[in-house]
Amino acid sequence: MANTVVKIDGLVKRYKDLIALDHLALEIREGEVFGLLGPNGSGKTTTINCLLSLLAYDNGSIEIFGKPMTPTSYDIKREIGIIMQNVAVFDELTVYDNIDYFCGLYITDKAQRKQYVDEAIKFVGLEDFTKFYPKKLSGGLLRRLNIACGIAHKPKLIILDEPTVAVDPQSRNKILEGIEELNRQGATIIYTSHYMEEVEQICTRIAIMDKGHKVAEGTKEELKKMIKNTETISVEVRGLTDEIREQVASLPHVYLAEYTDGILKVCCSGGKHNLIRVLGVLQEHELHIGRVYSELPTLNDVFLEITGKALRDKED
Amino acid sequence: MQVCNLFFKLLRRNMKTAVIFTAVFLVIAFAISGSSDKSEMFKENRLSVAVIDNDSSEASKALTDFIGSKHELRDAGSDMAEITENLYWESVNYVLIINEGFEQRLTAGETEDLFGEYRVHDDFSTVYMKTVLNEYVKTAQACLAAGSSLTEALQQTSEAVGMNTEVTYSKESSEGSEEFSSSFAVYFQYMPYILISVMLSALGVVLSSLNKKGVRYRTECSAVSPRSVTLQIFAGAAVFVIAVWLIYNIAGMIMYGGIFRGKAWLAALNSLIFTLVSASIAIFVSSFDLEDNVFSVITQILGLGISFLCGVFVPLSVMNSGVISAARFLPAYWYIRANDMLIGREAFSAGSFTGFLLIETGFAVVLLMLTFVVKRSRAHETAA
Repeated sequence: MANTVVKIDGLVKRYKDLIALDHLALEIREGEVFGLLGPNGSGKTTTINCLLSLLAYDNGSIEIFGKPMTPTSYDIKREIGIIMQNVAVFDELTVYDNIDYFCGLYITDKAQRKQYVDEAIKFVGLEDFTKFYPKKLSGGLLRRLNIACGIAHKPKLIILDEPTVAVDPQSRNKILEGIEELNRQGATIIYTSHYMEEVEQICTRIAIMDKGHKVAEGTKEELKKMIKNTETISVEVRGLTDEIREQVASLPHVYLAEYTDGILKVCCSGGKHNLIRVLGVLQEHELHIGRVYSELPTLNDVFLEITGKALRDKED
Repeated sequence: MQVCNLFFKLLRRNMKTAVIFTAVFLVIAFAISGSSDKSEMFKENRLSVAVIDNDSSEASKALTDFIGSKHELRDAGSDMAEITENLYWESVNYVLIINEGFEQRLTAGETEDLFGEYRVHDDFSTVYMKTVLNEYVKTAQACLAAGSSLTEALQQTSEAVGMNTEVTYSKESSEGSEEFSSSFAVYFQYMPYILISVMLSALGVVLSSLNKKGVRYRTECSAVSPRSVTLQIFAGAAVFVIAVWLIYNIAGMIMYGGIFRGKAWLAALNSLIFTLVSASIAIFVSSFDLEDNVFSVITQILGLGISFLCGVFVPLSVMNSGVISAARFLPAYWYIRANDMLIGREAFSAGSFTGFLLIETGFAVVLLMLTFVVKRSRAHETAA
């Protein structure tokens, strides 16, 4: 079994009457891409700030690389890289100088630092822009610079706090590919997001947070097994009566059948051949069938079922 | 020293405005200083005067000789066109016509119709020459009335009117002292404006960059302790603040003509404390996460606003009492009060002077404490 990189036990953080973290416990193992998933205000960023000892907590303990994490644990901090949602660089410095400065906060040896900076520039593909100032870079290139500043010192643990917010799809894919590559190179990753698709794509293990609690934890397969829903069938159909809908609802393994705006939505729990059985009922009544979808549950379904609300705000 | 090196890198990129401020200030200060020196010197003007003697008497010749001893005698020609042209081209400043019968009228004590003239309208040469001629005539007639012969009277008049009086300018109390002249005091008078502007446009902008939420967060997460980061920034800022003060005071010494003496050192001390106050203002403003353009506007408002309110541009003595009451709550007011003491606008008292410096220092301390409070509050916000 891989070594434990981060161990959070019974973490409590209060802001006056508000409990931001309520006895949170997490264990992140070496080589994992660990997803911290939750809606805005669920406590993801507070967890990260406590993890980095930027925020004092009321109770619990945090260990990183087997040692207690304190504000003066600079030997531990040296092994951590942080990439945040907003681009955090100096407008007055060139791409090279920015990476060099942030790398220099960890690596004092100039020759080693130069090598690391060059490697980081190559990793994010900014070789042609080293003398550019940030204001001359496009949004995508800025994100790459932001990542380079966080990983240039070759950290063993990389924390990415919602790095793809307000990023175009092309740049988002590049960022996700970069994270996977960093993981292949040996870094343990903590990835916070409220974009479930990203978390599903890259994370090997996921913790779902809500209101300061960890509501579920496991691999995406394990999480999906936790919920009742195993398959959602959607059928475009006209003229469906209540009697027919009830007939569908009474099929084996079907626990929900809704008909809204010409679409029949059927939620199934376990069982095989659910789609065939549903279509059989509709054909039996000679109804005209349009498009048919059969979807496996998503993390959003997991979140919806566990917390009773959608993972992402509508505006997101 | 990574953070300290960064401080100077950022400073180099943000020095343009401060350099322009400094260059303009020094050029104007040197210009004012130069023009002020000239204003303290008196030099008698020599005019180009043409004399047309229609009397050809002893008295007219004596007057012509007297004018020749004080001014350049020129030939302006005899006809009207030639005289007008010479006046137009300023070959002569004034053409005096000694009327026929001048001697007779002079000895008779008459003052009318003694002279005619060609002149440029409203020119100062005319006023000047009329004054001289009036004085000459009155003196000559006074000598004649006293019983002198014409020859004696003319000789006595030439001596009396032509006498050079040795004048020594004694500086009034409001003009400062030898070791701190009024012209030099102007340099220190304007210093609050330039110090606030330079500190905000250079130090303030650099600290603002370092305080930006994202980069501050990255730095706080790093392997460098917050104490070390603060110390490195403090070291960079201290070097900059002292350098700025030294530059202005060395420039002051060049203007002064050597190492400061006496009260000039007190002015330098006053400026040192105000440099610290200005740095504190910059540190305080930079503790807020302001956009660059907002920062630039604040620089202008604070620099000009404080300077106008506190008597940097206009002497406190001519300012409205309401404005002065408000200015008491600003550090530059106390700087100006201290400076006014040095140049003699206020009676100098070591106790009051020290008090003013302490009040300035108090402003710096309060601003730094407020900065601390703002930073604590922002650190809490960031972490939350």
